[in-house]
Amino acid sequence: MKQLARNIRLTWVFTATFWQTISQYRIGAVTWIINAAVTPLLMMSIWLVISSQQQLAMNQSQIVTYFFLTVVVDRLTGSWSMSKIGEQIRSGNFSNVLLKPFSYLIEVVSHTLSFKFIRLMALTPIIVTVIAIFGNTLGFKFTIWSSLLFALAAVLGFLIRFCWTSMLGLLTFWLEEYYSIDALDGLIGQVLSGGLIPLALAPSLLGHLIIYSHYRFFISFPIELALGQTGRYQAFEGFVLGGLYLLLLILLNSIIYKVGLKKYGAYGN
Amino acid sequence: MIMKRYLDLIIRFTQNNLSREMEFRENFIFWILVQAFYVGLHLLTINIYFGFADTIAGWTKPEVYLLVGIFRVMEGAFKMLIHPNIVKLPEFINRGDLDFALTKPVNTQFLLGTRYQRLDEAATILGGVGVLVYVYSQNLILFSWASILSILPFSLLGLTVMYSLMMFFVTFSVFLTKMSSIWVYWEVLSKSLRLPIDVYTHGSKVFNGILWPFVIVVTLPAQIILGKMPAYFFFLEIIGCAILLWAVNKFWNFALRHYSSASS
Repeated sequence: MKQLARNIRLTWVFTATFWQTISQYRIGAVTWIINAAVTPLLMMSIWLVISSQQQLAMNQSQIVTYFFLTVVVDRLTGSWSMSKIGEQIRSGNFSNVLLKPFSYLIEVVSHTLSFKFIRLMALTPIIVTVIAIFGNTLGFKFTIWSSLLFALAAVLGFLIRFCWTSMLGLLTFWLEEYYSIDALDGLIGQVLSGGLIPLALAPSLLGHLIIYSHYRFFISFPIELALGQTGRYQAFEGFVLGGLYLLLLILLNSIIYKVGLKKYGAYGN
Repeated sequence: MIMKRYLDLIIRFTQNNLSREMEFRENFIFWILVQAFYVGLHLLTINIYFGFADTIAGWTKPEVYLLVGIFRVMEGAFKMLIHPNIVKLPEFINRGDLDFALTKPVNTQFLLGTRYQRLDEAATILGGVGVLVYVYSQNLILFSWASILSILPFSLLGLTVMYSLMMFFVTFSVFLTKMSSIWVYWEVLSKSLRLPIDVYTHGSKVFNGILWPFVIVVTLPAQIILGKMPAYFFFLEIIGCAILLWAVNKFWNFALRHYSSASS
């Protein structure tokens, strides 16, 4: 209990420190938001064009809502742990982290949280404006129940994504670089998370891949719950599957870290 | 004599970059696989879109494939030769390293524009060529030597436009204290160009007019090659490129006059 309280305090201190550093570059936060919004906007345009020519499983209002929510959910579940861990291992700075009297994960969690806060802050005025202007045309009606499920799914999505990206970052012990893995993960993730093709519009095989993939929890699952596209049983099934993925990833992280540390040669320093 | 010196410099830069890439061989090979996978994924998503409709904003699937092929060639060349240098420019300016480049006995723009290369991006070019070979070999697009040969000049013009657009954004780093996220502008640019601009503008002439620098990178060339636009539009493409290049060059020179060196 005492250890947990110490870790939380340390996480808070590091988050505040990283926040100070990142917030020096506020223009950067705006450009990241532009980047985050571009893919959903482009995808929305394509699906709107198609839906104007063909009857789809989602109407135009649902398509707009879906891609608007992908911007928000992607920020909520976003994790930057791969670059943090990967860069530390690549540069050899991981040696410094190992000397500190606390887990390497504390700094990684703090780094991710500070990035998340600043990007969410930059996004807030846009969310408020869109809801204020287009609130009536957006295709979701938030109830207490759906809001709760959405929040739970977003937290679960973040935890799975954090563990997944941390695990990929730890692979730098063997690969010496993480850029390619990051790029490959981003590509697969865009498709299987529902970022490009909503689950409701995905062809049968891709739809099954999305449903059973851990990437679904990054974007699609919270939005499915917010839009009421998932029944109670399917929602329960989704949370169970997500929980299992989380446990598996925690276990894998622990194993890969232990094995990788033996391989670590502290390049650079 | 000068040409030989510059050619020699380019060869030495390439040797140096290749040695650097070979330090991370696994990453180099993995990146090539990533690019191959990326082309496959791009085509897969296009297939899914066209599973719902035969044409999207007036474009058929083979026509979009052609555009993707051309764009991948341009993107690969850009990311191999221009992008690694452009993204480093704000850092050079921020740290005052531009001073060193200015004092070297070689043209500054040449030095800043050619020093770094990403040779693994050859995979992107090959991916694009692969798509083009597929499109023409399967007779998805009517084969003609004129259309094949026109891809090269169009690619060079498209590269020039991409260079001009990115240089425009990078030049702001002379005025701003720190501009570390310049790669974001490339992301926005490349994401927007992967499909015909008509898809996003719904074919609106007004929006196409506003976004003309984006249109002339790959959408207009593909339209001319496909015969959807008259051939004389090629001259408009050249004029558009020249205007952009001239304007960006003026802006860069203006910015350099205001460069006060971060290190002093």
